[in-house]
Amino acid sequence: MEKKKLYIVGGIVGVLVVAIGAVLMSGRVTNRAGRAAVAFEEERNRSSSNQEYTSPDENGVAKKVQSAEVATPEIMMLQFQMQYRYPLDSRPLTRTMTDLTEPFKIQPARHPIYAHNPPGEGEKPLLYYSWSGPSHVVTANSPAVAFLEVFDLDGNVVKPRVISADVYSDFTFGRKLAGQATSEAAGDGKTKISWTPRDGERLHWGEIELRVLFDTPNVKNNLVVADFSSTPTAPALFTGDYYDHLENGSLVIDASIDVKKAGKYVFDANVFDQSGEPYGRVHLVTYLERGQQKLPLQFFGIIFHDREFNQGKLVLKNLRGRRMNLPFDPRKLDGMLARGEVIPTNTEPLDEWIPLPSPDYVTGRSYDVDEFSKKEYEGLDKAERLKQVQQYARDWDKQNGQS
Amino acid sequence: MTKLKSLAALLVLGGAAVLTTPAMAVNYVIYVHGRSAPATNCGINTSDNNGNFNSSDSYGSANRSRAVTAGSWRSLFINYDGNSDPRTYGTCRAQTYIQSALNTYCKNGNQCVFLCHSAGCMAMDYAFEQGNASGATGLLYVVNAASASGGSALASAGAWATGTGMDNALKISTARSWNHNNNPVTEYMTAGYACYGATACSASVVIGGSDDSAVNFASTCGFSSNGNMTKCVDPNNAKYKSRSTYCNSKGAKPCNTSNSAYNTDHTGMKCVGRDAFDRLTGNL
Repeated sequence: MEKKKLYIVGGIVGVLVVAIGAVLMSGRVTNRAGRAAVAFEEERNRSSSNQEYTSPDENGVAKKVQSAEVATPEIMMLQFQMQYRYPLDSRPLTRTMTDLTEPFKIQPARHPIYAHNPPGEGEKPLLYYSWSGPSHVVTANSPAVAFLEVFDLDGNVVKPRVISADVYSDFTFGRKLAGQATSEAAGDGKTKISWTPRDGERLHWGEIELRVLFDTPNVKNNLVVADFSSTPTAPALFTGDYYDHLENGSLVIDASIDVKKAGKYVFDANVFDQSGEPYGRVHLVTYLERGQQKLPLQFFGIIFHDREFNQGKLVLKNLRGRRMNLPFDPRKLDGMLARGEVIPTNTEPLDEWIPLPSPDYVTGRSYDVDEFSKKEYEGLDKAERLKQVQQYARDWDKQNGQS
Repeated sequence: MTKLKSLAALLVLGGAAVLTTPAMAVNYVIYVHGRSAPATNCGINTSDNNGNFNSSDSYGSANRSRAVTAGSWRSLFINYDGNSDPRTYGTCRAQTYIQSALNTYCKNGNQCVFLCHSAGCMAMDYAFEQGNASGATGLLYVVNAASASGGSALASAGAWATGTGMDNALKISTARSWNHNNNPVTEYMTAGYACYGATACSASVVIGGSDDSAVNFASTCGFSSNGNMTKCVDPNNAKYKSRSTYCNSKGAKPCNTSNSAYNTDHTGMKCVGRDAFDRLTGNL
């Protein structure tokens, strides 16, 4: 009988344990569930409600993240808030992002020329040189142009005498001699080197090397190299037709494109106001079939508030795109990887650039900032990411004995 | 009596099961090496970091991550042909394994951190540019040890003269020709500024700015243009999106706060990256 009572008591205790556990594991947050979990609950409620617009403190967040040596849940939450205020493919653009506002420019930078390669210890350079130019992307209608400057050790411009300017093919084709470039004096001591790829010429496709051999009065046989990404045969063409409109409080500019070769394409574009102030950028990765179609470039609404746009027409600039030359159908890649299939190897140049469109597109009408939504991004990926960050917090609290 | 016993036992066990906290997500740290010899063991290796992974950056048992030793993280090593272009797919190519790792270890409840060294970081940034991290919501962040994502002046100058796809990809103009701003997570940047040995130090004269004898601060600190930077935190020079300079006060080589970098060379930066990961995860 005593044993029977014991078992009954044990059973009742078990029921109580289950009940208490159910309460603790419910949505109620206790001190022992962890501070981070509280923050995440608040974040979930905040982002789903219709809150007042608040401008982001991106610099403040960046400083906090940078100064934190440990990636605590609080730091992970700050990063989440910073990353997911906008969609990952539609982000603000500022003047400092010159790699995006001038994406193709060959930025001048001085490099030393030594007698030996590599130079010996303590060896001094003989000369300095610098390349500059409007674009390192070359297509059939946009030839390669690079300006060479040469300087002596005191920084004085030295006029080079070009002996040869040879074009070498992409590495995947064995760096073969593929042609000659022309050279001419361009003023201010610069030498202009030009080359136009030939449509259909395979050796003119890919990452091309322009090798220039030159003399100066005091130093002979100097070899310098400029690099270009060349696509003599276009995989697609921007037609020059655009249509701008609002969609759910975001600016969408549809760019018409005529696709000659189906495949995976990567696009980038920026939007400015008419005074040249940048506002937003788009990065679009998509599979395109052959034929004419519209490319929707979405500039997320809240960006215009965060960047303090007022009103006016907007200008689509720096629209660029390239087809990825892959030896397999990219739509099937995930399946191939999951099945452990052998993935074919790249043996050709990676990129096929679309000729850059010109001129820039100005929207058909003026926009007012109040037409753009003030809501933060709320995509499925954001919800998934928040769940993952919450899991991180739970794991952290458990690891640190706080749950 | 027997039935009562069983019922009571079931109830107690059931209570214990409910009280048990949910299983922790599986955490993976995935190493991606840089320029090196051709791999003989291609793939995503799951070893416990006690050996040499041929062309993978060898960390060895002496340099094992503390987080892995503590058992809270599992290490994986992506081995690809270190002579090949890190932007390419195929057998023994970086993009194949990075995408496979993102699909397998950074989704469905798993959490992952990539720890890349040198050209391995270029491979990561290229994967992001190609949209290959789409859906990898378990990717927490990337630790960059001496990132060569911005290229190396040694490659541009033809100093290595090997003619490989890797060296071609590391030319500064090539390296910076695509968009480096598509990382979906923070990238912690660690940079070195030492050169060891006459050969390494002579290489430094070819590279502009502070460098680790192979790659300069412009790349290792995540700046968005090439230049002669001498400090990793430099308000006069912009960085690519979400690049955070990581200055670790602990570890074998603590950070020099005057330039927010580490007094070690390109190879030594591997362990700095490992220490950064351990510190970030609270294991150092």
